[in-house]
Amino acid sequence: MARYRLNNYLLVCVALTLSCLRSHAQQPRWWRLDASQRNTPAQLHCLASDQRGYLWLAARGSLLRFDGQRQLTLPYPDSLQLATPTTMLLSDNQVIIGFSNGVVLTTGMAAQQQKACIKVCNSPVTCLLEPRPGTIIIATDGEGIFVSEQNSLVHHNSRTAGLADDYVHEMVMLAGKLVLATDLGISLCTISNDNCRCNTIDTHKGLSDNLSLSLAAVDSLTVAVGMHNGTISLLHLTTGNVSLLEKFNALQSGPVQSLLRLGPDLLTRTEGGMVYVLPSCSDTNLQQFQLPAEYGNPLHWLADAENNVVMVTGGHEVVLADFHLQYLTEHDEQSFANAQCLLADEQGNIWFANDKGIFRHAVEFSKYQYLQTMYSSPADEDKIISMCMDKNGKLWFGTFGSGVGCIDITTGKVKKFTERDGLLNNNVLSMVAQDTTIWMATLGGVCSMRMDDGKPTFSPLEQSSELGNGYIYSVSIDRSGRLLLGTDGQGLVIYEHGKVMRLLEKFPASGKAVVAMTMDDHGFTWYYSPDAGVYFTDGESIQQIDLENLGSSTEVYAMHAATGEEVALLTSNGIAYVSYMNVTPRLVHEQADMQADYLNVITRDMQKNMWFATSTSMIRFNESITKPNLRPVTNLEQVFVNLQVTDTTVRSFKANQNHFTFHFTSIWWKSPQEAVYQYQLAGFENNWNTTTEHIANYPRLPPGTYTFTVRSSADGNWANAHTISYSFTIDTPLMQRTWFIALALLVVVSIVYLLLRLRLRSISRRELLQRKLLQGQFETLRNQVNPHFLFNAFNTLVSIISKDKESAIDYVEKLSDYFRIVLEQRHKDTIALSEELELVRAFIFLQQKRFFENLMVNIELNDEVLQSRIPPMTLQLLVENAIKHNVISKTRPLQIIIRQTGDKIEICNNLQPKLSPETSTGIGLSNIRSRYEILFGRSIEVLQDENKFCVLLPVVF
Amino acid sequence: MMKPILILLASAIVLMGSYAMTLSGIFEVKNATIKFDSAAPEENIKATSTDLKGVLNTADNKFAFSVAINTFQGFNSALQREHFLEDYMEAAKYPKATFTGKLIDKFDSAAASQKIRAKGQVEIHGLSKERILDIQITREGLVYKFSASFDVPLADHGIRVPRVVNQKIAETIKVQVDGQIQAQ
Repeated sequence: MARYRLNNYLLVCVALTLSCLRSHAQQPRWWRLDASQRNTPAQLHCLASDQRGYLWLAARGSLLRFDGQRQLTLPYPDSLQLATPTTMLLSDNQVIIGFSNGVVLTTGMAAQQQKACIKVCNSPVTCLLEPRPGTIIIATDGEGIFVSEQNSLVHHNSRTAGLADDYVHEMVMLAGKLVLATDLGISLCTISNDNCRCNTIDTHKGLSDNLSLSLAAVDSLTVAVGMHNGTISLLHLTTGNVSLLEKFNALQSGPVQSLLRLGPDLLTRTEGGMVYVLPSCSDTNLQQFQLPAEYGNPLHWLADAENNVVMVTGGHEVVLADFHLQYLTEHDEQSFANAQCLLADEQGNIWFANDKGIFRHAVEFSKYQYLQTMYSSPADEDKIISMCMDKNGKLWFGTFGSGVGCIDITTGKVKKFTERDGLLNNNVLSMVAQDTTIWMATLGGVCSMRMDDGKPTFSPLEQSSELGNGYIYSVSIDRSGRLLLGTDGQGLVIYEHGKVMRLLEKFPASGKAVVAMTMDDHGFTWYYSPDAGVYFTDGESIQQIDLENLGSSTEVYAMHAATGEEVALLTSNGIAYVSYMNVTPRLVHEQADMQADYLNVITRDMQKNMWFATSTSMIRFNESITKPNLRPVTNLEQVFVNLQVTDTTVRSFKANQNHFTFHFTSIWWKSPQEAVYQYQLAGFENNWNTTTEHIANYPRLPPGTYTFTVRSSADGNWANAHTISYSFTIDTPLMQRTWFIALALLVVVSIVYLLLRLRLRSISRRELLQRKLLQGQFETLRNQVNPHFLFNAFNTLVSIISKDKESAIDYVEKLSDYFRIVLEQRHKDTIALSEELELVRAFIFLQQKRFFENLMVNIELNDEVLQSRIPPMTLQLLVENAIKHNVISKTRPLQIIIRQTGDKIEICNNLQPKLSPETSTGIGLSNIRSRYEILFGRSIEVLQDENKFCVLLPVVF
Repeated sequence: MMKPILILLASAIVLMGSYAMTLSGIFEVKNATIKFDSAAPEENIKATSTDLKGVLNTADNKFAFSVAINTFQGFNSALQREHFLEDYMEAAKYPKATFTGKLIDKFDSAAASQKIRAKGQVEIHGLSKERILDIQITREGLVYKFSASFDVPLADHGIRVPRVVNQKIAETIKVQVDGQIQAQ
C-alpha cells in the first residue's frame, strides 16, 4: 500500500508538450466565440451587457443579442445599413446606439420593436451616458455634447458651455459631475436644466497631457484618465489634485486607448493589443499581456458579470479573457512547466523548484516578471520536492533522497545537510516552520530542526515509533500550535504535548494515508486521503466532502486555504473551491486531465493569488475578483402557446391553449457550449429532464395549474444552479367545470322532475277519468240492468209483441243495439257526437215505445257539431235522467231538446218532477261534470228554473 | 468628398485676406516632400512627391494638406508606378490624398524646436481614417521646418493587394513628410 501510494504521488513522469504562446510567458485564458449572423459574418463594433447576462453587439447593419451560442438579429433601419456604430448604451429595455455619422438610434430589445432615429450632428458619436432615466448625454467627436431629454436636444460646446474642446472621446458621471475626456484636457461639467458649466483641467493644472483618450472611475471621487502620450493620471474631482501612475507612465506604452474596471483592478489597453492589469488601481504590481495577434485589435471592451473581459475587434468574433486565471508556461530562460514544488513568501516572491534548481519568480515593475536562479541542482542531486522559509529569511529545501538544503537568499550561499548531519531521513517530503524550529516530514518519520550558531540540530519526534511505517507525507502546524502529520497507514495524526492522537481511532473510516492537508481561516483542518477522500475536521467532528460533482474518479493533488474560509483544491478535473459552509465544491477552472506529480505544488501569495503547478504549466488564479457562487445564469427566453409567442406576464390560458413550448438559454461565457439544462413541469411530472437542447415541448396539456422550472449548470452542480420558474394555469373547459356540471345536473333533474310530475299528473288524471268513466258506465249499466229498466223494456216488448210482431223484433234489435253501443264505447275517453247520438237515438227509440208521443225528443244539431268530441254516454245519461226524474203523461208530455246554442250543446227539458222522486245514485250529473273537467278542462253548466232544466255542454273538437 | 478640403482652402484664402494686415496666423507649406516606403519580404518600393500643398491657420489651429497621387515618382519600374496609380490607388477615381484637422498642442511661433500633435482625417483611396500624428517643428528664422512620419495600413483605406503580389507590397506603408511652413 505504502509503496504504491508513494509511487503514485512521487513518480516522475515528464512528457512535456508545451503549448503555444512562447513569446509571452504569462497569459490569461483567452478564447473566442463566433457571433456570425446566419449568412454574413458580422462586423462587431460595440458591445454592452444586460442584467440577464446577454451581450448586445452593435454590428454593421444590425444589432445582435448574443448568449454565447445563438444570436437574435435586430436590423437597423435602412438609412443606417452602411453606418458604423461607434458606441452603445443599454437603458431600461432599450438599446441606444451612436453612429459615426452622428445618428443616435434607440431600439427596443425585442424584434419588431419601435425604432427611433435622431440625427444629432455630423460628427461621430463617441459616448452615451444616462445620468438619470429619460436623459441621455451624447458626446461627439467634434461638436461637444448634446443632452437629450424627451423631445428636447440641448447642445453644449466649447463656446457655449466652456468645454475644453469639442472633440470628446469619453465621459463618465462621478460625484454629480460629468467628466469629459477631450483633445484639450478634461472638462468637469455640471449640468442642470438647460445649463452646462464646465471647468477645464489641463496641463496647466498638472495633467500630464491634454489629449485625453479614456476615463474610468477609480472610486467615488477619483477618475483615472488615459492620455495619448501613454500616461495615466488619477484626478481627484473635489480637490482637483492630479497624481500620476509613475511606473505605468515610465513604460511608454503608447496612447492609452481605453481604461476598464475589473473588480478592484484597473485594466488598460494600448495599441497593438497590449493589455495591462493594474491590481487595485495601482501600478505597483502591474502585469502586461499581449492579445494574440490573430484576435485583432480591440475596439470596445467591458467586464461581464462573470468577471471576464469581453472585447470586440471589428470581426465576427467576441474575444474573451479571464484575467484572474493565468497560465505561466514558459519564460525566456526557464520553463514554468513541471515545477516540483512551489512556495510564496511574504515579500511577494514565488519560489519554485524543478529538476534544474530553485528559481525566484518576482512580479515587479519594469520587467513585469523576472526569474532568478537561486540554486542550480548538481547533476547527482535528487529532486527538490519541499520548501520552507524560516524566520531569518532563509529558504530551506527538501529533496527526495539527498537530504535538505538551506539558501541564504541575500548572499545565495547554500548549505546542505543529510543523514550524516543527524537528519532523520534523506527523503524530505514536507517542511513547516514553527518559530525557530523547522519540522520535516520524511520517509523515516518526523524530525525538528533548530539552528544554533549556524549549526543545525536535528531531533526526531519521540513518538516516531507510533507512526507506523514512518512514511510522513505532510506536516503542518495548526492555530493552537499542534503538529499535524499526514501519515501512511495511521491517517491524520495530531501531536500535542508529547501525546499522539490518531483521527482514525475516533473515526475509523477517515482515511489511512493522508497526502495533502491545509488549515482554513475558520480553523478546520482539511485533508485528502486517496483511500477515503477529502475531509475537514476540528478534531472532535469530521465531515466528508462529496467530490461527485467535480466529475467521476476525481483525484485531488493538493489543497491550500484560500480567501473567505474557502479551500482551493487542485484536482484531476481542474481547480475547485470548497468551504465548510458550502460543502459542494465549485469548479472555478475546468480542465480535464490536469495532472500534478508532486505534493507541494500549491501556494498562495500576498495578493490573494493562488498558484498551482501542474505537469504542463503553472496557473495563477486571482481570487480577489472571483465571485462566490459564480454560476451560469438561466433565462427563460420565450414561451410559445399553440406555437404562438406569448407574453410571459400572461399566466392564465383557455382550455384549448394547451400546447406549450419553452425556449430557454444559459449564459455562461466561460464555456457556453457546456451548459446543460434540467427542466420540470410541476403539475405534470415529478422528474427532471436533462438536456443540452434549448427547448422543452409539452403538447396537449390537460387543464390544471403548472410550474415550469428550468435550471442550467456547466459542472453538474444542480444544488447551486440558477433556477427560473414560470407558473401558469390552463382553465378547465366549460363542460368540465364543477359549477357547470352542478348546473347541468340541476337542469336535468328539474326537467326529469317536471316530466315525472306531468306524467304523474296525467296518470292520476287518467286514473280519475278511468274511474269516472267506469263509474259512468257502471251507472249506466246499473241503470240499464236495473230491474226497473228491464221491467219497463220487457213490459213494452210484451205489449207490442202481440200487436205488432215486426215492431217487437225491431224493438229487440234496438235494445241489443243499445247494449252493443254501450259495451263498445265503454273503454273510450271520448267519442264523436254523432256516435253518441246513435246511442241516444237507440235509447229514445226504446223509451218511445213505452211513452209514445208523450216523450218528444228534438235533436237539432248540424253536421259540424256532430264531429265534436264528447265523453261517451253523456247525452244518454242526460236523456235518461230527464226521463227518470220527470212525469211523462199524455197531459204532461216531456219534451227534450238537444241543440246547439253558441259554442254549447244544450240539452233541455221541461221541468215536471215526479212527486215521488226516483231513487237516484246522484252521480250521473257530477260524473259528467268531472269527466269534462278532466278530459277537456272545461265545465258544464246546469240551468234550472221552475219550468225548465237545461244542461249546457261545451263543444269540444 | 473633396468638399471639406475645398471649403477649408477657400476659408483659408478668405482668412488670408482678412489677416493680411496683421501678419496673420496663416502659414503655407513650402518645399515639402512626401515619401512612402513599402518594405515587403520580396521587394522594397519607395516613391516621393514634392507636390504636397497645405495651409495652417494658427488662429484656430486648423490645417489642410493635400497631395496629388499622380505626382509620386520613384518606384522600381515604370510598370510598377502604373500599377500603383491604376490598380491600387485608383488615381483616376481618387486623385488626391488629404490630411485635414487641427493641432492638438499649441503652436509656439517663438520656440526653436517643438513637437506638435496634429489630429485629423487622413483620406487615401477615398476612405478616411482618423489619425493623430506627431510633428517635429524646428525654427530657422522665419521659416519653420516640419517633419512627420507615420504608418498607413492599407486595410484602413480599402486598398486591396492581389495575393500574387502580397509578398512584394507591405501591408503597412511607412510615410515620411518633410517641408517648411512660412507665414504668409
